[in-house]
Amino acid sequence: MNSSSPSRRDFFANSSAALTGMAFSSLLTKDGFSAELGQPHFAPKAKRVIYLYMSGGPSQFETFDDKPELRKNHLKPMPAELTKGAKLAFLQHQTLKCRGSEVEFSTCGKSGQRISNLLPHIQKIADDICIIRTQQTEQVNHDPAHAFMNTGTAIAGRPSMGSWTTYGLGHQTDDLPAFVVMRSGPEGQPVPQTAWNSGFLPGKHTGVELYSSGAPLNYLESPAGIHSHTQRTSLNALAKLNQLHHSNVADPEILTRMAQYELAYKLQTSVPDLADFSDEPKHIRERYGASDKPNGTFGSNCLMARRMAERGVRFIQLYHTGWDHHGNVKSNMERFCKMVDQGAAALIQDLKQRGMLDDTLVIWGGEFGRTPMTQGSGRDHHIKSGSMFMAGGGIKGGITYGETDPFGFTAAHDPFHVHDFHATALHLLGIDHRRLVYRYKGRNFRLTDVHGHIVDKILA
Amino acid sequence: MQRILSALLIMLPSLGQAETVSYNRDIRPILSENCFFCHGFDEQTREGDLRLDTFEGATSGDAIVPGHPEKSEIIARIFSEEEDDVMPPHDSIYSLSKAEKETLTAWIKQGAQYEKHWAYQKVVQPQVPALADHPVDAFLKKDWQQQGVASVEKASPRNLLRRLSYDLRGLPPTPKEVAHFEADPSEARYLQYVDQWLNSLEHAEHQAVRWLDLVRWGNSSGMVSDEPIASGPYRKYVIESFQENTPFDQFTREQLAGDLFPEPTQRTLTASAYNRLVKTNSEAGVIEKEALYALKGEHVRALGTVWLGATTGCAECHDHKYDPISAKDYFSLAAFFDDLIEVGVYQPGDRRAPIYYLHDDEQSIAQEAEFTRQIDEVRKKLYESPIDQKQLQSWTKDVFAQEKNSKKEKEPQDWDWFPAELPPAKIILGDFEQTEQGRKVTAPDGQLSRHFAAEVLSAGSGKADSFYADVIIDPDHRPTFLAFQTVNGAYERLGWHRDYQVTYYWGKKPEGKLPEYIAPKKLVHLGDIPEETGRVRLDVPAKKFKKARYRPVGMGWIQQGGTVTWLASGFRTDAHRVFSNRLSESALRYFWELPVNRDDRKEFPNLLIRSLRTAPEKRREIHTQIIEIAFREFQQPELVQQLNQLYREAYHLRRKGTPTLVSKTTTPKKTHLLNRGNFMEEIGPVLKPAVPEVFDNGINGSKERLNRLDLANWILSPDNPLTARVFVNRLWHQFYGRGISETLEDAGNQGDWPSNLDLLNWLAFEFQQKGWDIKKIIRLLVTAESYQLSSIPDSLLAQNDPTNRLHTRQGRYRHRAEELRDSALAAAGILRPTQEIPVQSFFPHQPKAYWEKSHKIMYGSRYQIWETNRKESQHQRSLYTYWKRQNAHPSMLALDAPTRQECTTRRAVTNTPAQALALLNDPIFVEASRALAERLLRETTEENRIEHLYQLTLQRDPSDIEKTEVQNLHQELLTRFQQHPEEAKKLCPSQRSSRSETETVQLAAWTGTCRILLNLHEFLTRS
Repeated sequence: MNSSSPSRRDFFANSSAALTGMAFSSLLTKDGFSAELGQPHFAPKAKRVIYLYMSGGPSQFETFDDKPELRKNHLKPMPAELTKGAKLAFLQHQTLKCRGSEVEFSTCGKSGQRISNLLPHIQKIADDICIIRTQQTEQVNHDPAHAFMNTGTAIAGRPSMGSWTTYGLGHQTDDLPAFVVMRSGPEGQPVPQTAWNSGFLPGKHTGVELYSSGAPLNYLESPAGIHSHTQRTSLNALAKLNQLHHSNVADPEILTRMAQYELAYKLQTSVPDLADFSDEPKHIRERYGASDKPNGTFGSNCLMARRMAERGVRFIQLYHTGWDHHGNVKSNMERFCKMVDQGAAALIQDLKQRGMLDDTLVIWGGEFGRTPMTQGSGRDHHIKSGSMFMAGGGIKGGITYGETDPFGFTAAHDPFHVHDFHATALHLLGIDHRRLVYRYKGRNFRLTDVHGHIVDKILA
Repeated sequence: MQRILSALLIMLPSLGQAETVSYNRDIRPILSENCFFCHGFDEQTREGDLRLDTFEGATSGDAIVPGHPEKSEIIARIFSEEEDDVMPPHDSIYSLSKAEKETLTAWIKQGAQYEKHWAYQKVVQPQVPALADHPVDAFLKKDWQQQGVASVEKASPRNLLRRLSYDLRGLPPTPKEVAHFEADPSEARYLQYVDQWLNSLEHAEHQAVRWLDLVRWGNSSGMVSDEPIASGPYRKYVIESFQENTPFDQFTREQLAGDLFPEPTQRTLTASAYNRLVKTNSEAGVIEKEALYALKGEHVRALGTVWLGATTGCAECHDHKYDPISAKDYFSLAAFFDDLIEVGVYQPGDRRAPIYYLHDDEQSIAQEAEFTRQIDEVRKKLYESPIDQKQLQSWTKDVFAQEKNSKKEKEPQDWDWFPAELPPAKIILGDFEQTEQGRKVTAPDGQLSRHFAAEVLSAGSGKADSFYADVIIDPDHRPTFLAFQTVNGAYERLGWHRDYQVTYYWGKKPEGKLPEYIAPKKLVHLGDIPEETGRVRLDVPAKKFKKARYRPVGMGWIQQGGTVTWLASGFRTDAHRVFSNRLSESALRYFWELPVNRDDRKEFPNLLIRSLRTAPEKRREIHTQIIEIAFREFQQPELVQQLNQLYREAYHLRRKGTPTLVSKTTTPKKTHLLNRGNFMEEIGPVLKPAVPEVFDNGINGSKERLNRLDLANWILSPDNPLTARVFVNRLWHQFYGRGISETLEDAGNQGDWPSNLDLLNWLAFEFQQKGWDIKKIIRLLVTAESYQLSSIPDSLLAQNDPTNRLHTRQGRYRHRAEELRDSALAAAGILRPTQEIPVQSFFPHQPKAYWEKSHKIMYGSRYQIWETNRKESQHQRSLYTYWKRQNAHPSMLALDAPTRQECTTRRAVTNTPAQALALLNDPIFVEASRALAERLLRETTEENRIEHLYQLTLQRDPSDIEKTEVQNLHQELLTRFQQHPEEAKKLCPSQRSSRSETETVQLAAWTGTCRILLNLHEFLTRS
């Protein structure tokens, strides 16, 4: 299947016509029928994305934003002029006091980036990553903030960033889905599955969740007693019967259906192959902290991500849950950084060593940051500041973008809004965010709505 | 529009030049698409002070000079090649084609006449062209004649009946039905099927699915914690309404305002759950006001989608870019829903009060209504009484004094959490006889008896020194086992899992298997059954408590044999806690049947004291409210008693009833006109309910505050141009495969120009003016000859009209998710016909890792488990599937069912490998294959098996070559299973031990064969 055929397939799926592509171009702007780009607007820097999504909102003050002034004022009142009129979650009716970080930071690499000692492995790749300290969003609670970070709006039901990407660029492999999601981390606080939904884009752009241990995909396994040989025999017969039907009614949708069953069959082997780590050298597995098969950890998912990247998966999103540290921020951050530090660094190093980092955009970050104000022993959700990092795929490594005020409350300069993040990421993928549109309910929708600026300073 | 023109131009190359250009058909789409964003209705973003959406605006300067394209600035601009001049701007995503530019020029030359948007014109019924007997055919034929096209031939009887069956029932016809029709494919027999199926329950169920998509119905609250909500009765109401063919006007009024009827009934109250299907949040840290504005958005977006075909949501932040709906209109519509009792942020596990309880028998129905009336009356007296400030102050002092005393008291005290006569409880299980002394229970020897109460109107918080239950044991009939349970939960809600129950017992543990309500691992022995007669205490000291994750919210009392009278139960705690518990009951009582913000609810245990301590100017609304509530209760103890008694009795009745969400009206909340939707700055004026100005039929001038019933009446007024058009257009889409206007969700300026406006108007008028009769319209649609056409286009049509805009053939597409699952079960003969429309949903098989326990997604608030239903109840129709809006069933999602988090007018029709995997491997489809194979073996002999299989699945005979292919497949599978009988056993595990290996192999080979038939494209596709 080449990258232009899916749109035709969609079209046939919706029409009843047995026709060639003749009157086809005239249909492209139609509601629900927009063409996929199938190719970028301009030469891309990144061919794929691996998005390490720290769900719950990791604290920047224990990771990438070192604030001596905040430490000095620990448990003293926050300057009122900073916090006036701010949209807060739990701290709405509370007196606002500073929480200085109890975590040490170090100056790392040739670039001299400041990174928390909770991330010793990330510290070692300081020169490869671009730290952003002025992440800003508009949504202060998890559910809408996830929606905003993933879809560019708080209203549920819009396409996610991964869906836009595969819609825009098509896919590079037939053997695996183009957009894959995996999860790790503690249960409890959920990530809504709508975060990887395709919204009004065709359903095939919905992220496919691979489970991080056990059977990786819904309905991947043939029923008990159906050996792969039996499955093959059965599908051959199905194809023949469908082909006979096609010779009677000449509906091209039948050919599409046949192709999809073949793809399904391929997935039945390619996904188990993907999830079989036994062909990875021991030292590689150890670097990720993974075993010979997926074990549900973040590191294991990172290894899976690299394997997917190699196999042509376009957009990979790894959610790690549990970063919502309203209490005990220090000990919790110690625990959670430990869960992701090694795997994330291993992924970037591994990609680099394989020459894949250049065209793979790696993103690390959550749906929002956390307050410099204390909430008991923890920190509340915060939309004015937060840290994330990006690497590879056209990103300038070894730099820090944006600076917060001395208390870390908001951006002193260079704010990095979610819309800017989306615009920049799409840019690296060779997509003009203003031109990647889909017509729905009578208007052209974009990931960035009517906003978004490409942040040139972080581009290599 | 371009697409339409180009498609038509092939047939009519002269259009646009020789014919008059029509504003609505030709011009509006061009302007709306390319110009209105900056030169349209939205004043705030209007560029260059130019609006092109009205004649006045466009001609006030020299933008458009009617009759003179050469003098019109817009013509110069659109043809300009200068980057700075050209319109649309060169850096925008918009651009005009040559044809569009020429069409605009021609239009200006013809005088630049504007027309009111087609969907905004009053519905007037056009003359039926005298071209056919059936009006639908007549309108279509006229169009075909004008376009110079011809329709395809009629579908074969088998194809037609199969189509009709799916369209009317969502199920395939039986082979018998097809044979019967093929024997006599007359109009009379066709009509017989139309009427028979149209009046079946299956039809109502099938029709309900689309409505449930529209109103985004689900079993869960739809956001993060995604808790169960009492929405089952509403689904039943929808099905019943379609079955009874409830006129659409009544259907509309009942849903929007069933609670505001002069005499609401169970039916109208259940219908009013429509307003409560909004997604609701219970996430910590959500700002109440923001969430309330989000709810307003839910109401307005749904109203726009369900009834108006209008994308009202856009106007939350700005005036609509394309349609005459202003931000003011948006918030004025929102104000219609301000009277609803609802909160922004619910407590996790909240049932989403207000709830009404439905009953089956007349007596209980009457009692329920009477309780509701009396409760409202007593509450009004109690909570709206005047307050004497002086008395309030002296009471305040008194409360403080008592509190001080309670702190001095060192000795722990009993807190009779469950007094001998139980306080009102939302959950009461088991039987007991209430005597003067207490709750008397007699259990036959050897038998366990348990009664249980939870979520009570009595405070249960605080650290306990011991739990106790006081009992009187009948010395002549002693039990062998005596126990009580503390049952934990979170957020004052009951956990749903027995792990949450700790059972403390005296005497001998029951022999054999323990009942479901006793968790074997949480069973604590405390000694022998006391020998004393008279009142005796069963006491559990603190050191015996099993560690519980959540605090108790209920208690259970169990005995094996014996006669026991249960007196008060509770816990010993310090005097100050006892005092606080007593005080907090005012809040519990007041909010007993009301939702409350989760943060406020959390404060209940100390709310009164804290509120009294807060300086008046610093008090939040809840603080003032609770002081007044408590004070009024203090002043009117007899009313408090009365209210308690009413609640107690009502909940004894309600334990037998079925809860349903309902709308309930109260003092309206306020809606401000927000600036760019920003709730943080409520600086705009407070708006009262009003309909969008452009559609105002005078209703906005009313002196009384308009309510939801007025809104419904406006929707249904003959002046409202949208409702009827939008509804019949959706029906047309259902029966013809595409809309007359393809944008079912948007009848506004950006909507698709109808392929046959006269037809749409004619149908809309029939619907609106002749009784809002849904079945009548459906009957009209399926009896037209046009409906009965083949779905295979000839090659000319395929080229010239690929999307079938002219309806010269029928639609051909994959069946919907529910239809596929139901069809597989039907072919296998195991689909369970609905005897009585269920209120409960069933839990089908789903992949293990998907979700099993709700705590993954529900913060442990209510420990709901995905308990896959046992075999037969799995075989219900798919619309009764438990619909969790955050995790809808994976097979349903793969087959394009929406999550129902937002209103959906039409589902996508995709074709993906995930669908193939689901259809091949989802256990329910495998089970259907197996059952189908069993059926084949049961009903046929070797010779006619394949014919029968084709009849059961496709209602036709196989061709010779098909038969050979299936035979080959079967033979290959048979050989495989003969060589590997262990695989056959796995595929077809034996229910009975008597099945021989040969039989199993035989069954497996047919199961494998059936599985492939159930995956055939033809099986999956509307014919």
